[in-house]
Amino acid sequence: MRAARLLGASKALGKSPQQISLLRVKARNAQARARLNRLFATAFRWAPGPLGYAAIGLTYVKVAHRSDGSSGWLWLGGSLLLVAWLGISARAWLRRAGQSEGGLLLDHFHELKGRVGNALSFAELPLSERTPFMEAAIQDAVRVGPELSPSLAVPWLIPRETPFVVVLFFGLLGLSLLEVRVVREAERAAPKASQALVLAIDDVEYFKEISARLAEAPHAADVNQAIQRFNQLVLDIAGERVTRDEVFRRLDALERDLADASDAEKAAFEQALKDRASELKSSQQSRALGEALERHDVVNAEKELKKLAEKVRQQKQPLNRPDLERLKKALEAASQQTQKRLERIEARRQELLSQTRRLLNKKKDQKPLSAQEAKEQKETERKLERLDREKREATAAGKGLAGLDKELAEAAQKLMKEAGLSAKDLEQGAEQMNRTAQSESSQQEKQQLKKRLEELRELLRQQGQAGKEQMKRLLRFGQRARGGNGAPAEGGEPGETNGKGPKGPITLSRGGPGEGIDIPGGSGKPDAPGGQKGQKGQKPGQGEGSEGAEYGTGHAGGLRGDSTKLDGKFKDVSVVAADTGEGAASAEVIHGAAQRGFTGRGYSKVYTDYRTVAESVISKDEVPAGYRFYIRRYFQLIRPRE
Amino acid sequence: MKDESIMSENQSVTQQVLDFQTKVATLRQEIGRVIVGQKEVVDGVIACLLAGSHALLEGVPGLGKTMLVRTLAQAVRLDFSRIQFTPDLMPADIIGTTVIDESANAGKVFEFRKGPIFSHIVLADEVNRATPKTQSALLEAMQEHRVTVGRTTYTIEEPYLVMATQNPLEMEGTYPLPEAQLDRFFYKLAVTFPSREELHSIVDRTTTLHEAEVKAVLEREEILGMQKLVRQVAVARHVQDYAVRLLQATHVQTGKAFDKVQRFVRTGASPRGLQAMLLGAKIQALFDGRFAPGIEDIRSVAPLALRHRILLNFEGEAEGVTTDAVIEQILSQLPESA
Repeated sequence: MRAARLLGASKALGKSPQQISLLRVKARNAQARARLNRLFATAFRWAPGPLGYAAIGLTYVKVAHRSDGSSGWLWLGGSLLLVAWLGISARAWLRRAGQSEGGLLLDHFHELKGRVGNALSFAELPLSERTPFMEAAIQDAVRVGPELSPSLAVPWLIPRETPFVVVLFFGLLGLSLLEVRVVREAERAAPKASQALVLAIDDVEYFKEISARLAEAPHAADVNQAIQRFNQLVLDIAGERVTRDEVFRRLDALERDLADASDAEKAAFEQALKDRASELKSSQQSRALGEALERHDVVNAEKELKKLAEKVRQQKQPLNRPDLERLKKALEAASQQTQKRLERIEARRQELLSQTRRLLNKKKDQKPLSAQEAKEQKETERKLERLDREKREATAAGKGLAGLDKELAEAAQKLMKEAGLSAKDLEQGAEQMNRTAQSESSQQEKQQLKKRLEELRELLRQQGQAGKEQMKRLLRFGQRARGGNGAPAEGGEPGETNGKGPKGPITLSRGGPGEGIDIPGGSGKPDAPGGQKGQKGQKPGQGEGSEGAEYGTGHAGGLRGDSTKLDGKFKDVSVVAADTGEGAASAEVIHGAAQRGFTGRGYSKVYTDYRTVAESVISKDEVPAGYRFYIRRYFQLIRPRE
Repeated sequence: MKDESIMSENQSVTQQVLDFQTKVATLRQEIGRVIVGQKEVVDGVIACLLAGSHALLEGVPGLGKTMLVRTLAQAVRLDFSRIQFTPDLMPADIIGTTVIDESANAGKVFEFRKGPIFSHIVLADEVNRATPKTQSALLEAMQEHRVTVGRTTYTIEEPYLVMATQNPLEMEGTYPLPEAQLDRFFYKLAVTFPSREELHSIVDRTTTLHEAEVKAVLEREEILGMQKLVRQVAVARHVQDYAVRLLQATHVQTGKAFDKVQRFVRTGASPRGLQAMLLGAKIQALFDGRFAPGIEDIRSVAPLALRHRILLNFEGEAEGVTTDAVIEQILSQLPESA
């Protein structure tokens, strides 16, 4: 058998080139099949990775409804995984298990013991290098060539993971077609800001009180609008719906809207009123009006104008001609005040301008200015600037009184011709005055509102510096101020009701000792730590006698004094220092308030007195600007509570 | 013209391979007259003879190791000598010694009397019982096929085959062969216990009047010719590469050592192991009537060629791991093509 096969091999000689090609083709075919099998095996083995990731990612996107940029990371991860999978698969495809792989596979399947592999290997060698044994080996393999079957030698293999991958793939397909119902929650109105500004309840209440007070009275439309905005801001702060930045932004906007009339313009307006007043005072008839304007009392000025109109209109006792003449001149002069003032300013301005031009021309001609001239030039420039400012202010003030001026001028023109018409003009002037009054009142309201805004701003600023500790202290203080028992302060004892310790101050601390502000009458140490509570002082009232339902059994010190009050209703009278009035002394009221909270009518009165004095001191600039806040804040905290 | 010359060469090669196969079959047949079974050992011994190298036979006593070698020696027309290795055996006992030859004409002359080592086939029975000194006397003869005594070097006539046997059980009073000497054995053949049928045959042959007669079927020249033919067999590059990778895989130092190699091997096989594998594979291919060995041939001879060339470490010895187990793991995990 073996001999026959060997002999057959020798007979196959001569056909070798074609036959070896056949062997090569079959070996290549077998190798390609093996590589594809490897590719599929590797691809299927690793496919669950990207498919699983895709399934999870798709689920996440569908359930979390993320179609925005946040799903970019998912895509990136998926792409990387896909690239890795493709890389691994490509590597499996490109990895060649040697050139002889196909031959070896055929040998294995057909049990040829390496004949094909050897023959292909020997066939690679040049003919000259081949030995007779090599040729014989090639012929031996060539003989079996036609019987070789790559498809049988390397059958297609179904990877073990195929079912799992198929299920995963179709699951992913199904998932991609699945529509997840989106339940969108209705947008909640103004959710709380994540870093909302938190103010102490006490402060919030204070500003709520202010805004309520401001809203009570009727105002001009613009002031009303500003107050509404302020109220809304306070409500938002109370509801913790706005951040600190947002509050400051809105405060800025409000302040910008309110800031229309500057102090200088106000002064200019007052000066304009004074100018008109001096002219009007020259006539007996319009003197009262002039005096009212001189006092900036626009309400009275309106009344006086109406009276004047009444006088002019009066038929029974008409004004005599000289009076009318004087009134006419006064009215004319008053109506022309703005114009005159502007003319004065302009004349002076032109004068200064010519002076400046002269000096400039000298400079142009390369002639050096003397020291005196240089000084003069600077002085002129300063004056010019001042005049320009005055002109602007006068124009602004003139605009405010333009209506009045027009009516006064018309009244003056018609005064001599037709009294009725002139009176009508004067009445219209009164209306203008009313508007001016309203405008002024509106300015005052604006100023008041601005002050509140400043208070709020300063409070926020200080709160930002003090931090949470101050917030806690304010909370405790607020509770006590309402008469409640504040929780014991850190390191401090709750105040004793009848203690006899030293009178302690209520301090407003900025987080450290020594910066407290004493309530008048307190005599404790001002450097007590912030938040520490003062102890009760002396018992209020030291009057004699006692309150009772029965008739008194004793008698007062002076028998010759008042008769005994039979109803037994008498009050303790304290005499402290110069306070001779009845009732507790201010200091005692304050002490009592410090212990029981800032409540009660007596305390309200004392508070108002002290506050008024403090405000007046502040307004007179006797207090450094830096301390004004603390004073105001102090009074704000000790304000009477309900 | 060229085709014709190739054809004639091819026919010649084919004829030579056919002759080779016939001779081997005849030899096997003759040996089979005495030796029952043990096909692998018989083929291994024949392979060693055809490779011009030596064999180490290991097996418990009574399995026919000595009988096999003796039968082989009878089946081929070659000189045979048997040396029973004992602890008191001296090198001169196997190499030979110089004696004074007294002759009437020449007087007293020193003459070297060749020892048993100078035979074509030497049976070194229980080789591990001799002292290392005596064992090492075999070294030069086995490797160089020559013996140096004093100033004279004596060449041993080809073919030269040392067949050593050793008993793996009785280790007391033995001197394990040094690594250098082990390396010189082409194959280490494990003589296994006969099967039931084989035992029946053994009993039938040895307990009756039947006496097997072994005839010499191969002449010395024929054996030398067969040895030459073996070396003419070509080995494809990928087969040789597989053998090289297989050898490398027995070393711990190579890049990807297999688990058992990593744990239990102290030293891997030497390049002689590679030579043994390739020659053995060629002989296998010729046995099978093929013109070139395949990877399967390498795989089949690898345990025979490598098992005595791999040295286990202490852990391997302690765990009772055999070198066959290590080789088996390498063969199962080493890819055929790289």
